[in-house]
Amino acid sequence: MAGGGGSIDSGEPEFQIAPMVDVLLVLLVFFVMTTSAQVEQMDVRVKVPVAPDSTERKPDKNQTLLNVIWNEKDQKAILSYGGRDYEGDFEPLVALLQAKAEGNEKFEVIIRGDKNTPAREMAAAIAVVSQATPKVSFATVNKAG
Amino acid sequence: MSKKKHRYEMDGDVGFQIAPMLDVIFVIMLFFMSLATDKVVETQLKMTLPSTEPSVDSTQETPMEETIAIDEEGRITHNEELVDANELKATFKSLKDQSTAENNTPIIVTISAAPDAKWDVIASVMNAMQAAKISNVSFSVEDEF
Repeated sequence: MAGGGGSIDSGEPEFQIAPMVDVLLVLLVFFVMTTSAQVEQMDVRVKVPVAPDSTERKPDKNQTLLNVIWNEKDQKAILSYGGRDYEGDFEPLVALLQAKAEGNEKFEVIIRGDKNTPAREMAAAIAVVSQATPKVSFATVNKAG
Repeated sequence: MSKKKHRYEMDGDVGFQIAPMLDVIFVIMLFFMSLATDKVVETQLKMTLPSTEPSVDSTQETPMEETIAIDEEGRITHNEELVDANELKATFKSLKDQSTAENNTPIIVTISAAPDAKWDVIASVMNAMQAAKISNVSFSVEDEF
């Protein structure tokens, strides 16, 4: 990575900027890698409700995110999973979740429902998930932002 | 901040100045630290849905069941009485205490919501459940409210 060196002749150690830059770059890459894995599953169209007593969410490879987007204009909900939107026919989504849950008892789905989504649409999303696993979490935020 | 004296070369070539760089880094660090303390974090409400598989444990006790109703205006009722979030928390906590006293009898909360009830309100009921450490939930969407 970055090269550099100090004065050998003087005998006095000098501050080495090159290793510092190296360390900073490694830290930057580390944070970029860890955050992008989570961000890619989250849908910015969803504004989750506030729940002050909810628990902290730690990264878990057994968890997967299902977004429920509420389209106020069309009065319709869209389920978004793995970057693909599902509307009306949820059978392919059920099959996908069942395949993921197979052989993994710890498999869990986090439903990120928009706070304005009506109960009937959320119930449909929950029904989809319950066909794959009884373990479900609902995404919230710790306080209003 | 840093009062360290710096060495300048006599030929006018100014060497790398580490002190101002450290000053700037500290200011940036303080800025990010102050941001982090007031951050809105996405959290989760961990729930368990009723399993579709039949129970193999025939000795399991009959669970304690509670039904919470939510109408389309977002009003929450328990035993046909209007309740707010704090009252609901107290109700769930006393239920949990009762369950603990009775050899950890499972508690199942059924959230019966009007089709157009907002997810925001349903999440507030689950938030009260989470505060009392109750996780078994089932949903029903009723037209009659």
